[in-house]
Amino acid sequence: MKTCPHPPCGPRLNNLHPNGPQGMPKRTLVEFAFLVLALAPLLHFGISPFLGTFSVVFVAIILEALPFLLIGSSVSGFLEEFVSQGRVARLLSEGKARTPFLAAALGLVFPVCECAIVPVIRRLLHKGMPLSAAVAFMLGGPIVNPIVFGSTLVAYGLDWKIALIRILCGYSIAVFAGFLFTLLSRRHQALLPPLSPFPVHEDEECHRHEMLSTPVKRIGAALVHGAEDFLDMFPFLVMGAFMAALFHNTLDRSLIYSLWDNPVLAILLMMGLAFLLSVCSEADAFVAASFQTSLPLSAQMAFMVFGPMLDLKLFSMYFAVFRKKAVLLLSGMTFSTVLGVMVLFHFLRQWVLG
Amino acid sequence: MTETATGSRRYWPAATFLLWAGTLAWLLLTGRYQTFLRPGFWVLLLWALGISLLLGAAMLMFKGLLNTVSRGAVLWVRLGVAIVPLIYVFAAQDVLLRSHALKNRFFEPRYMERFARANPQRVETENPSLTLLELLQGFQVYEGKRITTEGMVHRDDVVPTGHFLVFRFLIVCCAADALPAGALVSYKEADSFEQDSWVRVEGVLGLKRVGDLLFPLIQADRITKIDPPRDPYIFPRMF
Repeated sequence: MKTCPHPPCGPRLNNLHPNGPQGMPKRTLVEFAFLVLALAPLLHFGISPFLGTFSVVFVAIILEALPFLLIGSSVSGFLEEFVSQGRVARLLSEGKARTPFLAAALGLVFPVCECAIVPVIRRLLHKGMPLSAAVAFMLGGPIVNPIVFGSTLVAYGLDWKIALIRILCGYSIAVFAGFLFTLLSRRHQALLPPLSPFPVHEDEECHRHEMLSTPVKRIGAALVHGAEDFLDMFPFLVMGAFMAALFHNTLDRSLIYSLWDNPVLAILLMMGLAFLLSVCSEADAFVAASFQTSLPLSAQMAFMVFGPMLDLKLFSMYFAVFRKKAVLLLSGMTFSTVLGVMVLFHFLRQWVLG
Repeated sequence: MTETATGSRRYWPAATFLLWAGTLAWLLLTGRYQTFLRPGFWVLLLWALGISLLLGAAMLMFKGLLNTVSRGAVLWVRLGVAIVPLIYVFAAQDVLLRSHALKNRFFEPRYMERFARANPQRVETENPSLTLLELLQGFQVYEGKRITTEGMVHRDDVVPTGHFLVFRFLIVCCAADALPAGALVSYKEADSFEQDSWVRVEGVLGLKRVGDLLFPLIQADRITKIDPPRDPYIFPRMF
């Protein structure tokens, strides 16, 4: 057999994890159950008023997120093909304390919503991005972002202080969570393994290297990587959006009304609402602002800070990046940090305002 | 790996991308995307359409580079999940957010009033025709004056007898963030209008307390049934 003159390929993402290439993965069983659940109402009930409203909201969430997920997946494909592991490691070193501080502010130069960030993060993690930086970018990117700053400004009648507080809260929580996650979890315990699901024959591997000899073919390869990433991530978005749409139509939001006197409960309920409704970070300020006269600012802020970090669709998509335990750790950590910061913000504000 | 296996890993995922691209093209060409998104979002959908085409074409053209696309049942189930939203797109193509959506959404008239303090709009004409958002934004300007507005009829246990709520949804980005804007209407034949029917209301603007909330109230002297407008939602300016 001829020996391939090209250097060996780096690790590839495995979309069959956690069970590997053998047998039916648990994920497929979950997806199959979802498929039956999602199609059954259409087959049996037609379009009732409930199903009509549900369908509009479900499709709206998907159509709003789709361009960003496609952009994120394509960027991820180009990162795979054109950015070497060494370059990522040089830019964002594991040991340096400044890394999460820089990563949490990356949204300023890559201003996209949370759906675009997840596939990029997954690719960068497998290129050697430190966990602390990945978590800081993943949580901070959708908030520390000029578009989100602008939409918050408009929603709150050009009150720049509220927009600034949102950005600062998002940034500091993201940096803190980045450090904390690295302390509580080891890289190999947190990430899904980057294995190729199918055994690739050596000749086939060499053929692949020869195919990538021209720039056009490398762009083609980047697009194929992007397509593979998209196909792997999209089902998570669909399942998350489906659940969020279900809550949109069953949750009575007026229950939250008149919680002004119990700020902790108000903050908790608004965080719960942000998780269940999964409104995009570029629009959530308008929903939060509708509670201006009925809830304290800390509860509105909790909605605007927690939602872009962790909502139903994101929770679902995180399973494409991290192991189950790591997703639960990340979720619990984000929840408790946002809650703590918002309660502190509430009482500090009261103290300052007298 | 057999050629058939490679083929199924190549053609069906590519077909899924092309199916999405076709649906996005249909939504854009017919304007039906506005059932789900604000009009300005056509740019993002066009991006999505272009990228879907590129990714689908790349999967067909560079078959030797496919490494991580699944096969067999895993592939079929995953592609099935990917086309679920498409099925719902066609199922919901003529559906609008109506009274059913209003029930669970937060209606806070004082939030709307807040706009009036920040950005009052003065209209000199008699009986101005206003959207419900303009009416709420300029409430302090129009209070006590005769106005005309349009919206859908909603009636429930909270709405007093002889009244209905005329409402429309405000959409900032997509239907998931839809918020109702509405005003109570007092009219002697209020009960004769069907739930979710579209009406044009003419009358004098005032306030009415219902429970703990103060609602804008239109003392109507003329209500006309109308066809649903071309743009049933109100899209407030973002920037």
